[in-house]
Amino acid sequence: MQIPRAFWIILIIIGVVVAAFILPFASWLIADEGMAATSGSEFCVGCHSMEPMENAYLKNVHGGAGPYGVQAQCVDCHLDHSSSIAYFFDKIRTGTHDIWVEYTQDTHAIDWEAKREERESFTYDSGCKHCHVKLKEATMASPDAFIAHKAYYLGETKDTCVSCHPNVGHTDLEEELIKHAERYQQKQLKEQQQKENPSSGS
Amino acid sequence: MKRIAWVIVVVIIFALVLMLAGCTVSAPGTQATAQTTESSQTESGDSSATPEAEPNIGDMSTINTMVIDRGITELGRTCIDCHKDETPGIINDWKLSRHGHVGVSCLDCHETDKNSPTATQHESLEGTDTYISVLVPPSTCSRCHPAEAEQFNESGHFRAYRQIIPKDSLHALVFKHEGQENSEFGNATNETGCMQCHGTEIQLDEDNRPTSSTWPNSGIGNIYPDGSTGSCSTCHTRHRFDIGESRKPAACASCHLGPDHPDIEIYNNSKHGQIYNAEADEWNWDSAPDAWEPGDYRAPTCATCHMSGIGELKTTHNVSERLYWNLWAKRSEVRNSPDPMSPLTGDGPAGREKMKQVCSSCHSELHTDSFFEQGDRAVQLYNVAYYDPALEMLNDLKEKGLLKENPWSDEFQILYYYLWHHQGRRARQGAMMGGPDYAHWHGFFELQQDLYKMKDIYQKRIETGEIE
Repeated sequence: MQIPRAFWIILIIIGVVVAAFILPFASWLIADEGMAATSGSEFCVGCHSMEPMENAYLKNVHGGAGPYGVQAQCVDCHLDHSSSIAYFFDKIRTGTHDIWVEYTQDTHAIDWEAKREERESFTYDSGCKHCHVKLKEATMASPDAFIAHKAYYLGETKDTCVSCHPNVGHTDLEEELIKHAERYQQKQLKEQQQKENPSSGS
Repeated sequence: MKRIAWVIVVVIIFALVLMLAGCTVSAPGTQATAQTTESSQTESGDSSATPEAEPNIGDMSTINTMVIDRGITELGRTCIDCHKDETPGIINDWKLSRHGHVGVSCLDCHETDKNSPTATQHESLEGTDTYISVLVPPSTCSRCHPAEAEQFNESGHFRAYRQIIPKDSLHALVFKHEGQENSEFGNATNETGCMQCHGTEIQLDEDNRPTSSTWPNSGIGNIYPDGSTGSCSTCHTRHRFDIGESRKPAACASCHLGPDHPDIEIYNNSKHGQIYNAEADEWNWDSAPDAWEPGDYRAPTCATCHMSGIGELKTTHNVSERLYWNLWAKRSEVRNSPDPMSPLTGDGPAGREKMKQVCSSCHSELHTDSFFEQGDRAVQLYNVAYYDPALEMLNDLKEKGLLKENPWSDEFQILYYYLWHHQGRRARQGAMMGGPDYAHWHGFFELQQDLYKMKDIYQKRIETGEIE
């Protein structure tokens, strides 16, 4: 039996429609959903070592503690926003790095407080400016914004946003890091005691 | 009719003249004084005026009505409310400052993060989320003045204290000799001397407040508890932070003076200083940064040559940027290092070009070139005719064991120190900054005396094989 020509034509048309519209749309949908699913603090804090960062973040205006409930996501500050390509590759780079470290190394041995001194290397001005779009046009209605950012926008300084705003995004991070470390030590102590004296635990 | 009109005109003119005369006699000042005396008499019942009645310029403690409600937060206002009575001098400075004008208030500089090593709370802040710090490190100033801080961090001023840290001979001079190794008071000479200009590493007590052995000081090279280096208020004193003040030689003179680097004396000895001392009170001191140019002044100050924007040249807070030699060192060499910790920090040839650019605003090329040729010859004369032979003798004596262990009781070593640290610097700095008395009488004259005395001692020690 010969398949009618019309069938092939319809099939081709359907194929073209799927290839041209539905496939890109579907892949975009999947990519977007994927990006969204891996961009919230819920995802980031899935790694145990991020717990103190999240606690401090939730106390901060950027974590939604402001009067209007606006919340920036981890990736809004900690990924390069200079272009979509840069963002994508930065996400892959930092994502794989963090997962690798989380599962292969003892994250409690990391001196997180010392890492904060390198904050310029993992917080991006392009991220800040993605939301603070009008800061450059600040007027004397807000002298802080107007005066303090002059040198920055004129390119007279090497300082980045977090050079002058060292605690932005996280409130009491040092305290939270200490608490986290203490909790871990207590837990370890308990486990050790249980190991030495299994009957006392139960 | 005509006559009557004339009479009226004359009467009006007469009346006006009388009124004018009356105003001049009872001038506002005279009236006020009369009233004050009257009121104090009636209130106190005493015939003599009480001291409170006298005008009290700058004393804010008598003003109870100053309320600032413009561009300042509620909490910021409470600082001013109390401190205008507690420390009126500070509030008075601030209200006259540019910070006061643009609404940079107490908390903008003194508020600190709760976890900062310097975080404290006084009674009125207890229970709030606001923490303050007595210390304001340069990292705070750099939030609004980042370019100035970055330039400072590349300058010789940056190492003012840091360079002292590894110098054992200097620690020995201060603690062992000047402090006489006194366990209780031995550091006094550092606290009241060295530290006040060079700065120190500021230490904190258990309440996060600076200790008395490290603060207060106005040292330009302080290391603050947050790790930042410098002290903006050394030149821009608290709490006025006046640009005009820092442009005057007085800003530099509180440290750059004395037998070992008499820079203010050299300046006063120079023609620039002569003009400044004659007419500086008529000059413009508060032009905008980089816009302070000849015309605002008739002669340069320290800041004009070493820092200010002039003509095409940009303002800099790197005081080493326009220098060729290091004139403070034992032997002067041409600057050639980008590292602020190097004694040769700066780029000598580029620095010389910049300095010549400054001169060119007022001097011809021939004048400028010839001035530097004169100065360069003096520096090189010191190097080869004084320092090199002195060092050669010192090394020879050291090798033969003919130096005392205590350099400060050894005539030869004392002379060596004076040769480079006192007279040698005076000769070189006097020559390069146009101070003839310091180049000559306080400089080379004394240098030849030192050298001859050193040669005598050297000969004696070599001939006898022992220290006299």
